Amino acid sequence: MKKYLNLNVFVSLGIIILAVLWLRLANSMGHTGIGDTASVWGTAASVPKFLLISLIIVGVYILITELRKASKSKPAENEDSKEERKKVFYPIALMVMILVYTLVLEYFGFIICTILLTAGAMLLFGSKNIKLIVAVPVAFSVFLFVTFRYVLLINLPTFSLF
Amino acid sequence: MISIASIFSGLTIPICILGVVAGIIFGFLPGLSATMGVALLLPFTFGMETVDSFALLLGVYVGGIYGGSITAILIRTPGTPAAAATVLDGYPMAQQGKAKQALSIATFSSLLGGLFSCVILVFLSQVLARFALRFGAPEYFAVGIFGLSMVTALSRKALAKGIASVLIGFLLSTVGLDLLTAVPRFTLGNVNMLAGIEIVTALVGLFAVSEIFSKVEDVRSEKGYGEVKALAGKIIWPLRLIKMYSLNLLRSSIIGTAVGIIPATGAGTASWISYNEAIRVSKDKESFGKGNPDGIVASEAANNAVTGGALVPLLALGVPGDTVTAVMLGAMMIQGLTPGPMLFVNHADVVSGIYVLMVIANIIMAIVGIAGVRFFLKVLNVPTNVLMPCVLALCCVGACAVRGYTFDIQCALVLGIVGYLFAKTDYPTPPMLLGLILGQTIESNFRRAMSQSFGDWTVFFTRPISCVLLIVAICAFMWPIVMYWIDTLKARKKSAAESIAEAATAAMDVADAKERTEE
Repeated sequence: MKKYLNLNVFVSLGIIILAVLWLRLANSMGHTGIGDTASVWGTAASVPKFLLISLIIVGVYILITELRKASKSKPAENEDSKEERKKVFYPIALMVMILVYTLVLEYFGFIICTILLTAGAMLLFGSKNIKLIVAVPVAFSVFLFVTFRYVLLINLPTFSLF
Repeated sequence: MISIASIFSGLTIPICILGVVAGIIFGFLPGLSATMGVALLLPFTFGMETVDSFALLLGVYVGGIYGGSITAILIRTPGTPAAAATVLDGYPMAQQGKAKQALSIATFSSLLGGLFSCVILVFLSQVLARFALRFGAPEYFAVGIFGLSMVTALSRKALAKGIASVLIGFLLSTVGLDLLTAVPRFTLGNVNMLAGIEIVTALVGLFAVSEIFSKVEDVRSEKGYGEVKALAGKIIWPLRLIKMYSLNLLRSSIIGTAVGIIPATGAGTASWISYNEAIRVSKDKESFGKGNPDGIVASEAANNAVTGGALVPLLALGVPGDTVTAVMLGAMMIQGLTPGPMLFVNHADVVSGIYVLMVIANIIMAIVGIAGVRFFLKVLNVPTNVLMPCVLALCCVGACAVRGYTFDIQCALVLGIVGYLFAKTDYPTPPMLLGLILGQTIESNFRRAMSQSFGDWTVFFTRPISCVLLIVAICAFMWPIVMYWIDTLKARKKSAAESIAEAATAAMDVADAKERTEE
């Protein structure tokens, strides 16, 4: 059973589950359409429904193919996948950092958050030079803020906690 | 009054240079686009002479379309949707130490594509503009399907995964308010999702953020930082480029100009269609996506050829070919000009002035671009542990800049995770972007055509243009599949024949050995 649990199978399963949930949303949309053709292809849900059913069919086909491949895989390949799992810690840490960044950006503003994000990312990328870890994020974040906000007149979040 | 002499005297050329540089910066930075550049600089043209205002705006337009390719090649972050197809071969070339070559190919392909479209603009603008107006909903739908048919070329051996990818992209394009009925679709009650998923956000997520995730993993594994020789490779000059890629250049320029002429399409669609055609025609299909210069030529020549093409309906009919020319329509009106057939009669000098300025803007773009290669390449000398965090900050600001929503950064993060997982499981990501770019055009025009024909399917096949385009799309979709099957069958037959021959030789050997032992 264990050899069937690989990323390919998980992604295929994820696509099928996502498509089924999405289809439920499409079904709950009702029938708002243009004129008499609303009953067939004119509704807002018609094309998404067609796409979702196609996606489920393709997803099932991919899942079967991946399961077949997994059944033929050798135990050595599973050992490799354990190593793979260890490596993904860093991307996951970066993903969590970006998520936290997006959640606090509105409160702490662009400069503070971007400095922290860039410095954190530098640490994850293996930077050890403390001066560089401080200087680059500060300089780059301020440069981006000034360029976008004052030169290009694009609104970026500012500190608004108080 | 615009005369050729007035273009070459005064400040017109310096203003055009300024426009091109500003355009390149707008194209270069993710989140900004040529449209935004033209719109932002439009107020500066209020007090300018007609010739100077067009020099500035055309410079921004041409530079903006080209600028996206620089970041696409160097850091896998296409500055504009038009440069998305350039990533596929440009970035691998940069990773192989051929960044200089890739940038020069992008620059001169853009120049040649742009100049080709100028020639078409000069000689055929009125005839082609009338033809483009015959495009209705079925034709737009057919153009979209034709663009989508390249999924087979982009997916090759993982066709099912490519189709899944394109379907997901198409579904993402349906998120937000429905264009025809204004019904909110799949917004999950989130007001930020009413406007749908921004293409620039998707570009940033699928290409740049996913690459950052892959890089952080590589850095922490045995692969390490990897070395990229920034200054390796030679500049390919225009004459050599023409000699090496003449057919590709011509084909891509024609596609770009044709797509530009059709109103409401754009450089993004043109570059994908052209890229598909380059793969379809090439004898070495496998090398695409791994650093084949033909891919850059196809994408860049086509997206810059759109610039001249989009001006055709604007000047001849007063119908903008894309979003940038829509803003330029406003600029023309500010100058007291009404685009349309009468423009050629009442203001022939302005029309000829625009032709000349387009040529000049393209030439300046190439000069600025090639002069800047040395500076652009400095990016590759920055260590990965400094470059990637800076690219991440740029991605965040780019995603946020388009609409000013922090929600867009969350979208970029989700799409970055999707891109990262897809890369790990051999799902091609370009089809997803293709679905997202073309989805809205296909869906809205399909439904419009169906409602206009009262649900009659044959409308797509009774109109000659849409019928031809759909047949070509079906052929383009099926051709790589059929070729793949034929190759697989041939390979199977060959291996079967080889195994039979091997078995026969083994049997002969056994028989010989028996005879010898009996003797």
